[in-house]
Amino acid sequence: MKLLKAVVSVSIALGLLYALNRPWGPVPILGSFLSPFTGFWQNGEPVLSGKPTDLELRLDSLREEVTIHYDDVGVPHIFANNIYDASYAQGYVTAKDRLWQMDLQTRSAAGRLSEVLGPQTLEMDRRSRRMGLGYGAEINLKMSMSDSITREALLGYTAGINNYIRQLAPKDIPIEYKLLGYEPEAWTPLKCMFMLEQMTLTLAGRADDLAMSNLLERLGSANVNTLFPDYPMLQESPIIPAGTPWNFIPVPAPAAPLATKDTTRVAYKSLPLSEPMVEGIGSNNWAVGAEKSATGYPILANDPHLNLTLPSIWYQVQLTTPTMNVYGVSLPGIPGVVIGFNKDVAWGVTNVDADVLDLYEIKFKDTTHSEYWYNNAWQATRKRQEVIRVKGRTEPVQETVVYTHHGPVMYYEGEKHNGPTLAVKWIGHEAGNNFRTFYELNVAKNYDDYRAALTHYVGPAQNFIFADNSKNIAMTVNGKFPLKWQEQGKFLLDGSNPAHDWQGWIPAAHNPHVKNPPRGYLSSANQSSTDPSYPYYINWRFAPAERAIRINERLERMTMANADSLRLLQNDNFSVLARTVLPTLLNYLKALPLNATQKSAVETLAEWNYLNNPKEIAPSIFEEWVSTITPAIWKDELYSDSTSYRYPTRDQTLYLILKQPDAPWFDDIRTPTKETIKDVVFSSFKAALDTLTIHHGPMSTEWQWAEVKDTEIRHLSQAIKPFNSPPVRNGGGASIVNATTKTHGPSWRMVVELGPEPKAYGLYPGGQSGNPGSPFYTNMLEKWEKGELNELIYLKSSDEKHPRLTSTWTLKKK
Amino acid sequence: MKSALNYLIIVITTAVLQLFLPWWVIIVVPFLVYIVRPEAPLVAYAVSLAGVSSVWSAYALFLNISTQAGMSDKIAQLFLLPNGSVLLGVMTLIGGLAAGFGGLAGHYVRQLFVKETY
Repeated sequence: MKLLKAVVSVSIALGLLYALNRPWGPVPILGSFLSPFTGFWQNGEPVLSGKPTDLELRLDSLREEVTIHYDDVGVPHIFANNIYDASYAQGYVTAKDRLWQMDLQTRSAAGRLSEVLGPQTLEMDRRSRRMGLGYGAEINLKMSMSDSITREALLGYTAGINNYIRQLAPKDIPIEYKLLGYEPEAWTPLKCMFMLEQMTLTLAGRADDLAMSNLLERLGSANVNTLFPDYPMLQESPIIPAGTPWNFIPVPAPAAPLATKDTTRVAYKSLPLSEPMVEGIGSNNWAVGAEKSATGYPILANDPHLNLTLPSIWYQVQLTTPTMNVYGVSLPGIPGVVIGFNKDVAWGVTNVDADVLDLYEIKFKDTTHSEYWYNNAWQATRKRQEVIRVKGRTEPVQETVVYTHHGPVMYYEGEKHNGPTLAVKWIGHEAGNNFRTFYELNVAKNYDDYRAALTHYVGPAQNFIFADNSKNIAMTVNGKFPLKWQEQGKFLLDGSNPAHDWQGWIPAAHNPHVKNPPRGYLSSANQSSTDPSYPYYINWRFAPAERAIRINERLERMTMANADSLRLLQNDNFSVLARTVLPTLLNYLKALPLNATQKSAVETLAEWNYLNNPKEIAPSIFEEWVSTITPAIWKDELYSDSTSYRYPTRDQTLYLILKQPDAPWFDDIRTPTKETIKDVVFSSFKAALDTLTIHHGPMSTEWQWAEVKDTEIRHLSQAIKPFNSPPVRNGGGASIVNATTKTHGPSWRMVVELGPEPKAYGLYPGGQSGNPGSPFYTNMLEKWEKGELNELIYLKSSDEKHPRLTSTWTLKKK
Repeated sequence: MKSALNYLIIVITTAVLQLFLPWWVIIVVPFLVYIVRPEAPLVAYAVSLAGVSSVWSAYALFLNISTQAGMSDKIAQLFLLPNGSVLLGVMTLIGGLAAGFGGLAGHYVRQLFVKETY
């Protein structure tokens, strides 16, 4: 009996110990997670009351003393004596605020998510490996480490992060590690490269070559040429103003090879290769020249649009050394400032939709994949063994990635994409030193420095806007662009034909560029880089032109501009799309029998001033209608469950509606009757109202645009809901300058007035800290929602007193 | 009196040891205390539970107040609980129950070797 009692009680105690000391599915190790000594309780941060304390830290591998002043929104202002120490401090403070974010993003690029998340991310990891992100990261690392300055920056940044991690007690590790049950690991310079690869993947990692080839099979080349033209038919306002002279003699592009393909082959039954680029990944930037500004100096603005997440994508920092004093936003995981300003210059970026990812059909000799057919001979492949460790499994997954001279083989015939074997030729595999570009921009003093900085840059290609206090403004469509024949890579390429290879590059000096144009302002919003007079081929499609048209219309009229005029433009909610097409659409509804809801919807739209403001109902109806009308026109011809196609561009669809209302495409080929544009317009109108009614009830304030758009800023995990932002209720939309959609939007807004001393404003929808328990997690969100900006504190020296500085950290050599 | 002293020993020892040892000292400490300083089984259970619950709830309460429940309210949602205060209660109970069984096990193991009646 005694024995039994002892055994039972000891078993229960041990059983509890065991049960509380291991994870159960998504439930973390409860014992340590709940304990106030080690668990989540430790991750709350005290709400600021009174002055935060100054700190003095003794750290390894620091070279000289560094001073960091924190301001009242949590931005670190770093004062160091050399680039190594400045990068060290940047790494240290970024890790303090964003360690888990840095880990997750580099893990994602490295194809190592399954190590910590288990088998559900295995497919993602396999794709990252096959995409050759590791290969790209490694060759970029070699290049960056062979440059003395970027080497110093990368080593300093890495040492700073690692010294932060080293002093981190288990109780202090970020909450996400505790929830997911793993621990921070050491940083390496290679991870900085993975971060860049991740950005290149986001901005330049998609191709619809396969869909386009399928369309060619289905529609024939005449229809494809009509429906998928290489320049917008309806409206465009190119980044480099039309009429800007090209001050170079173009090098000849390779001749387009004659079609050698068997044109009778069957269309590939294929699933989409990758998610199409969401409208919402894009950006705005612009600069007004001195003659248009009230200050007598240029003013520059930039707002990059990305998937909005918490922690914020960007991290504000001021970095100073005796030769550098720059303020702006960095990407956690990368040393230096990516978008920002210094005493003399300011710059910003938007994405260039260049075609820098092409798919090549590959024919292997046999199933060993050791040789592929190229230039009338069998060529050897290279193989790279990828080892993917999976949480909960003892044996890692082995993935052999086969490399041709084009690039890695991404898809094999017979796999679930049901297409041919395809290798990827991608700019992410091209060696370069983007860090050098950012470093040189960080220290740039004038226009020439800016131009020199850009020459090191490879990709993802960006529209670099520039302004300086010598009253110059400039724009460069910048990146390494393959020298292509017209439409090379619009369709699948033949991997066996040398004429289909990328054959050299557009000379960097020939990249589209303009300085101080007569019109007195410059802008970009991801639209066509140039008009068709540019002698090289960059891509056949770019982002729709509406944002660019609106920005240019307002800048054209702008006089006596100041920072606030540009801030207001960043928050502009005018819909060029509605202005373009809504009157025509409403016209088709005239004389049709409408029910009460439809009548009131028409009235609402007819009275609308085309502003996608938060409390308007009209934009909800219009946006839903427009997104319904596109598939209503195209789905019958260009959709199949098993084959991937794509619809024509929005510009092309608008062109048909406005200019070719009798086109055969409006007929629904699935029905025996002949539909006209009027039928499509009316049926999509009804469908749009039905959708709104289903989701939001009968027309009421529930239909207000902010409610329907329902912007939400989610935690990076996409899974831990309590870490999401509260609902965001602002205006905007995908085709709107204020490009806020449900999930995407301006991830950083910045306005810089150049002058003897720069005055700058900016914020992002989040905060400096990545800790959901920190008062700095979402402290900028409310202002962002209202369209306001914070004044950015640009300190000239470490001794400068500023009322908004709150505390000082001193980093000293151990 | 013995109970009060055992309670104090558990409070102080678990509080100090948890600063550098894993959470499960909250089971081990009561176990050892009741190997060395016996009491009736139910008392052993109750004192162990009370001791560890006191430490966990007091420290968590302190952290929660100083951070205005910034984190605990969010974690509570994750566990489908209404707020951080309820989570604090649940967490205290789990820690206390585990500690109680530690104390009880200590009591019965001692009984294997020493004859005592209560």
